[in-house]
Amino acid sequence: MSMWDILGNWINAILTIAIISFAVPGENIFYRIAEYIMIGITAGYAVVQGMRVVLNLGISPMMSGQAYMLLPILLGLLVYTRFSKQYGYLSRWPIALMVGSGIGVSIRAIPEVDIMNQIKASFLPLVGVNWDVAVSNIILLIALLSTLFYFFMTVEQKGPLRQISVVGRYSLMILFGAYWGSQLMTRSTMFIGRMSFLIKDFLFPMLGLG
Amino acid sequence: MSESKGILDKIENMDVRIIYILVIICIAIPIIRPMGLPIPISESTISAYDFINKLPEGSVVLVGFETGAAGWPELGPQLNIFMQHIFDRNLKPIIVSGNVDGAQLAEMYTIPKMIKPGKVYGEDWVNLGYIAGGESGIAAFASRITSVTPRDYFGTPVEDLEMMKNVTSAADFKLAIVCSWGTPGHADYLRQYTTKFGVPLIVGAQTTTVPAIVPFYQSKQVVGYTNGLRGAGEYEILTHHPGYAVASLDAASSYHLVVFVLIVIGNLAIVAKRFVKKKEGT
Repeated sequence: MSMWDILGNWINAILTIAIISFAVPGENIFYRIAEYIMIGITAGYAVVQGMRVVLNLGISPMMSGQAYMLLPILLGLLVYTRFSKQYGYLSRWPIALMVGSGIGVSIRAIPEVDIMNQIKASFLPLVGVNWDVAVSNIILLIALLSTLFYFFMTVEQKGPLRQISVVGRYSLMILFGAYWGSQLMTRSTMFIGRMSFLIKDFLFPMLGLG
Repeated sequence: MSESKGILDKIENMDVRIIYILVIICIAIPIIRPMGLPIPISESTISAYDFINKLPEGSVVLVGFETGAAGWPELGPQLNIFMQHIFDRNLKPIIVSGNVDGAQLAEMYTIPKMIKPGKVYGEDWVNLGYIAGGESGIAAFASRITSVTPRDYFGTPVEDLEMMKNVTSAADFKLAIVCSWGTPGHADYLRQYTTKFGVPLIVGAQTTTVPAIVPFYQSKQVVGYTNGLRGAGEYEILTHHPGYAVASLDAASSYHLVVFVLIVIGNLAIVAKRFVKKKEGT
């Protein structure tokens, strides 16, 4: 390990402990310092990358003769007019262009990806397959139809219709439970990553154990 | 009766710091002394593995490092093992990222660990760096690669890279792999690479996003996916490269057990308190 690696490891470990310190003693100065360092570095890095993109895709081609590249650069600069009360309205033009083109690009495929293919995939065989597959397909179908019905607002949901809606609500609750469990797993993985670094990559080598 | 109510109150209002300390201990012990719990392999992971295994040697594979440092503990192990498998199979990966730090994470934490001797940058793999503009940027990249990334991560013109001589758009990709912690993510890749160019998609998912990915896997729009750290562990076993993810899964299991027990105790305490209140009322 070089001197720089060791120094990097120490900074890494100190900042990790400073952030984790929020959990046990609560809000404290070390946590704040680590948080501000992270925000500062992230913002600085994003600015540098953004400038690199503007240089590569805008300024360099413009300097090499593609004069039309001036137009997107000017439109980009117009975003900054929002800091002026008098000319702030000009910032709406490039934003409108970005929103419009962004929606246009994604909306083209949404009906196929999110609607048609999903509807096709819900045509599931209920007979002529193994019993466990059939049961699974029936559950999926009931959950799908009842959830769709839950959001069906044009008919008053009472009597047997209300029962279908209740099944839809329970299906949604199961989904929320799955989402919550998934969130727990993701957060735990982040914490495990940090703990693993502190123990295996920092403490063990320091104690001569790894 | 009031004594048991006092205990129930204490459980209900348990100091959150006790939970944190409990969690820290339960995670630290398996990291120090792994238990080697069994890891069953999911069908979706096998499906992803099989697809990569069947690709002909030399196929160009797009790998989206759509994560920042905070998502790395979960997505990093997946990206690492995907890249190792890609290099083992002599496929040619193109690294891109819609996150400002994704391409750098690849250079710092993936390539040095996973690259095989003899592999040459520009011939066997390339890193095209950051793609700005979210889904619009991806759409432009898919149509013509150099329109968005005229230079690679290191500043070399893309035309000068040997591997990119015959790769001009997404139509030349045999597979796209995306490991994402948000946007751009699987939805953007599906819309811009799969729907428009027919590029098969494998997703390395954060566990949080798995419920949103499963419908696309069931509808066969996604050929396979790995589920967080567990998925990475499964893939490490399939590729016979057990590493960080396999070693960390004991800690994950231990943590989940603690959370499970705490949720059960908390709910039992609420039910018991209602019962005590009811009894006191009668």
